[in-house]
Amino acid sequence: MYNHINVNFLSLIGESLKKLSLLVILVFGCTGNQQAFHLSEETYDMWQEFIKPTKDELAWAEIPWRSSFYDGLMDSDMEQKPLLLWVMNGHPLGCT
Amino acid sequence: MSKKFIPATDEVWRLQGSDEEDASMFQKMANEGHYKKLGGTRQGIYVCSPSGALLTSVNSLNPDVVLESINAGLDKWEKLPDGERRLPNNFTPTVSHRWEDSYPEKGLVLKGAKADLLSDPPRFSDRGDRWNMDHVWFNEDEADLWLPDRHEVGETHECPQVIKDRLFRFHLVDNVRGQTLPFAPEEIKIADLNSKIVAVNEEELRLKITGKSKAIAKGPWLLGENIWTPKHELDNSIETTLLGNAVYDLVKKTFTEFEMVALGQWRGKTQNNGRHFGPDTGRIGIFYSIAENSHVDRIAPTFIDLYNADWVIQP
Repeated sequence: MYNHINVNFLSLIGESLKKLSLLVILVFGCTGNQQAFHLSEETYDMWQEFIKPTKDELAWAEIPWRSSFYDGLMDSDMEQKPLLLWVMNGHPLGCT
Repeated sequence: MSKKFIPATDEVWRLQGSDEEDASMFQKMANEGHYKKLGGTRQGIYVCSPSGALLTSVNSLNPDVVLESINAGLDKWEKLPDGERRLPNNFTPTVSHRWEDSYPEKGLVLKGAKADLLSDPPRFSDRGDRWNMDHVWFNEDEADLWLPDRHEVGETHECPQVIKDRLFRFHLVDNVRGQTLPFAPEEIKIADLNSKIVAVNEEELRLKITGKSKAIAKGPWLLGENIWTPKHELDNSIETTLLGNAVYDLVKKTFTEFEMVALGQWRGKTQNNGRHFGPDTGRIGIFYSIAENSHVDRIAPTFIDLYNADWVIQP
């Protein structure tokens, strides 16, 4: 009888430990996921710096682009230089 | 390059569809260009004369190919007779409508940057090969809607629907790799956007901005027939959290500082957003700050035709 109870008791403890372990894994696992890519006062500057385009990525913006085909035609005629026109779905200077 | 050329950029949609003179000139030129066929998009890089003569054109991500095309165009220009280097005699210098005509002079204009986030903390060596820009426009009245009514430290304010709609429907979208689609009002499932006064004096308010959003587009397109109407059913979403800071000048009645970071998770793809060969979900980072009042920062927002604001001049 005692043995039977002890066996069941140990079995119960074993099950409880398994559940506890699973809970710990889930809790820590979930917590890890929530903290990754977390936006807070502490992480704000880090994300901002990463998202902003780098100097190299903005090198093309140093070119004195006219912002329309029309403006380009006018200046091309006035300065007698060929027009280099870059057109996209989405204005290249606004949303490439 | 600017010594040898006049560099210009433009949105191709109006140019390939309008019947105004500059657009007609572009269409004639583009029909002779790299696509070699009528119809379809006319994106690319063109070297041409103000007379409308096409010299060269190409659409390539390979810089060597583009450079070769540009140089070939320059060679052709050098050989072009003087008479073909001028605007046509009867060229009418009018453009009846550009979205930039609605630029909100006294409003709040934000310039955005968007990038894929691959790791936390982020590593610059992991920065993707694409990033994108964005502009958000609020007119003067709308800019004021970011502010709490009472100018006291601790005052919090829930931004009204028009502000939330502007951001969550048209700007917090996954267009890092290419143009995507806006969301319909009913596709916005979570829209929290709040400002809080953290400091105040006679001259300025300092604000903290917080928010979160969730937008889900699943099923048919809900925004009617327009230039954005996709050829496919929708199955894309984005969730974001936002944090930002702003300074409002009480004397000038304008924002003098405004910056905001949004981190998000996108799921699904749209027909032009360049995600087709990548994963089905990912992280996105968006940063907004006040745009300078230069001509390159006056470019209209992509979805301005859907802003549904009475101050936006329609074609």
